[in-house]
Amino acid sequence: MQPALEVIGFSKDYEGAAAVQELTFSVAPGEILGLVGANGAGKTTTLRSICGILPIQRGTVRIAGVDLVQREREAKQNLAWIPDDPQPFETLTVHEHLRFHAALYGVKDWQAHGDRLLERFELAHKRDALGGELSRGMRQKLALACAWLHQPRVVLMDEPLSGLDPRGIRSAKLAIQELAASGSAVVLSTHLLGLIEELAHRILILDNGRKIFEGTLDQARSSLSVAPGSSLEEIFFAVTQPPSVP
Amino acid sequence: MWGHSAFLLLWRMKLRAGVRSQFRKLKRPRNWIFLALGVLVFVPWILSLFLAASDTPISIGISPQAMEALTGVGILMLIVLSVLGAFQVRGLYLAKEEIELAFSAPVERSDLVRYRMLSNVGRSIFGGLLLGAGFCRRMPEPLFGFLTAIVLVLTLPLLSQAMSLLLGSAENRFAKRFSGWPARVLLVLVTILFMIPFMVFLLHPERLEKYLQGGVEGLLLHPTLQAALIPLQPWVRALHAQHWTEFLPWFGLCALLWFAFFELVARIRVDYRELSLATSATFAAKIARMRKGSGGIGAEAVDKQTAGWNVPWLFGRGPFGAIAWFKLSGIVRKAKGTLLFSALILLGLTLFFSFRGTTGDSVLKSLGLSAMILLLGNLYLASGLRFDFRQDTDIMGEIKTWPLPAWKIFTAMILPQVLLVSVMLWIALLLRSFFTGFQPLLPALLLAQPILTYIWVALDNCAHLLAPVRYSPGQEGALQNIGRAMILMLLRFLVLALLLGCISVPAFSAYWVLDAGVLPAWLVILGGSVLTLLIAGAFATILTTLGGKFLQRYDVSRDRG
Repeated sequence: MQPALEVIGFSKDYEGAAAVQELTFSVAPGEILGLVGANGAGKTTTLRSICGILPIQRGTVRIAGVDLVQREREAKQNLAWIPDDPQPFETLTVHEHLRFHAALYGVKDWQAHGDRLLERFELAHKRDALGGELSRGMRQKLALACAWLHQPRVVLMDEPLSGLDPRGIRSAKLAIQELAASGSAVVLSTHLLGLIEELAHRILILDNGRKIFEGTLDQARSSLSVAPGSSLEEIFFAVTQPPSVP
Repeated sequence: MWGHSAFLLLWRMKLRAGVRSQFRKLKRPRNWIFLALGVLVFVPWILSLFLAASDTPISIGISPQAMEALTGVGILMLIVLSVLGAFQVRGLYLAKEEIELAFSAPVERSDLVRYRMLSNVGRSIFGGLLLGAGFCRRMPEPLFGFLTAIVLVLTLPLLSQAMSLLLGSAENRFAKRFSGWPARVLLVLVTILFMIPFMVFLLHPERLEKYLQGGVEGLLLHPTLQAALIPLQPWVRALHAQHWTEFLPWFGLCALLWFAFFELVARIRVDYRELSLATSATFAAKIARMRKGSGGIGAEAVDKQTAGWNVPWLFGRGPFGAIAWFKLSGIVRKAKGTLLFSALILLGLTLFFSFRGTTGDSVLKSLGLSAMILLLGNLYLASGLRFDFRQDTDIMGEIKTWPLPAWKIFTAMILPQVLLVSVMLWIALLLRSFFTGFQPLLPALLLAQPILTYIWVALDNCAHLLAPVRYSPGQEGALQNIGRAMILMLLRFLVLALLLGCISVPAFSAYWVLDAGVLPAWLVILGGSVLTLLIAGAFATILTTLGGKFLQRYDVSRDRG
């Protein structure tokens, strides 16, 4: 089966310093990949490059088999990006955000689906609220609803649960699982290791821009020198280096 | 041609949202009052521009050919200003809520450029109307001048965008090679290149005289300038047209050039993403600071070079001193350049008033001129070097928890600004004394100055704490903001008038006693000065108490974003 997302030999420098080095991984349709790493490990840079916000310096990224550099527009059509702190348009209503997203991704007859998403993410009562009036949790829910609207084949999420209340977290977790069940590949970057353990089929650990592990949790327990039955947190601390003290 | 349909939809929705937002604001009666006041100020101003435009055309006594050249020079200056503005925007500017969404969406980068240019052109329409009104009076046919000026102003954002993209492209290609010392060498070489004409005239003044002999007209009709203005002929000709037959072809060419520029700029092939992200982040931070209420210097970023500097604890090491130190650090780390600029402005003001008041002037006139330095300097510096509660709107909740009485917090927050302005004004007053001679009443003025500055700043902060305004240019509600600013200004001047009224009582009494010769002159002057200072001190105390009260009742839940 063709991977929904393929990243081959991706590297990225910032002012001469390597942020990500020779990163290669793939995500199958319906799979949830947990991206784990300390601050500055290169997670957000990787995600922002894959979704086309940052240019690809070296390497290849394919989304649903389409090369991101060669056929950028076509590749992005199958992609959704949810940043850690979504910024809605201050003066547009929640409903208008959906309308704009539908136009942006060329989704026809989106209204019924949009209304369902508003219900799904408990935003129906905020339909006419302005973006500037939304709390952080509401902004996150709106970003999820917008990303779901065009039914993307690859969804990239950077800390998707930040700012959500317990009910919102539960709803978002279910939605992520449903999305994967519907065939979308999900890359989930978060510091909440419990969330990765709960949702991800596989994990990818980054340390100082390098991949140090890719596989399932069981594979991690067996291949990395950690005690059997270790949690992801224990694995993470066992394999990553502590930040250097200046 | 106009780009992706989604961004056109966004443009329309934002426009509608702006109108909707205005209506939502008008649900509050006080916003109606602010709007009415804003309209009262703004509409007559605009009308006056257009009514003046319908008067007799202004003639400045030069030939029509020279007038056309002068128009060309004006257009050239507008273009140069637009291009210089482009240096602040690296790549393509997109607002923080747009940038990640736009870059990750299936949209051509050229469509994003089109969207941005349309937004900028939309924002320029008002400027076009104003310039059009200005051009009306100076052109042979007002309507032609008006229409062409609008097209000209709408062309400028396209040129500015082109320059931003080309500069971005150059930065992408050469930044790595030309960072550090090669960039500095390049800068020096470019500066030398620009300095060469000045040096030539400096070394051979006879050449400059040759040019000046012909007067302004000679300069305007100089072949070099005429050649430089050739590319601007379509706009110049359309502006100076006298008949429709003359106007239409040139105006048509101007419109055609607008479309051509629009399409050409959109097609500039440059990957501006990284530069745009940096630009967007810089602007977003600046807008956020402005929305906190700190326009001007408070909206500037912290100068990293000053991070290692030791800021002195001028008011002790206790809680009061700590707050004052925190504010002083802000001044040192944000206002290095502005301090220098303000000092230069103040120096200019001082020299102006120093040489206005000569040695033959009366003591009273000399004091009056010193008072003018004090008043104007206070107004300018207190608004230009504003470091008060406005910079800290986002930590107001924390400020309210600080373990000090509210009036002390209020004082500590504004004291560094008062001290800075006072020191600068003291230097100015002493400098003036150096030029014009020492006046016996100068010590009283020097003593009164910090109290007056404190009163002005305290009044400003009381008004801010009582009715905080968070408005940055470009936000909706400009008219309401004008009205609101007027009311607050009026309030401040009323309090100042009251203060001046109270001060005038001992002043007039002293004058009357002096005239009657009942008491020795030194005693009268001393008594008058002490009474004046006491009244000013009482005002300062009242304002401090009020400031503390307003700080206590400040509702942090109203602060959003």
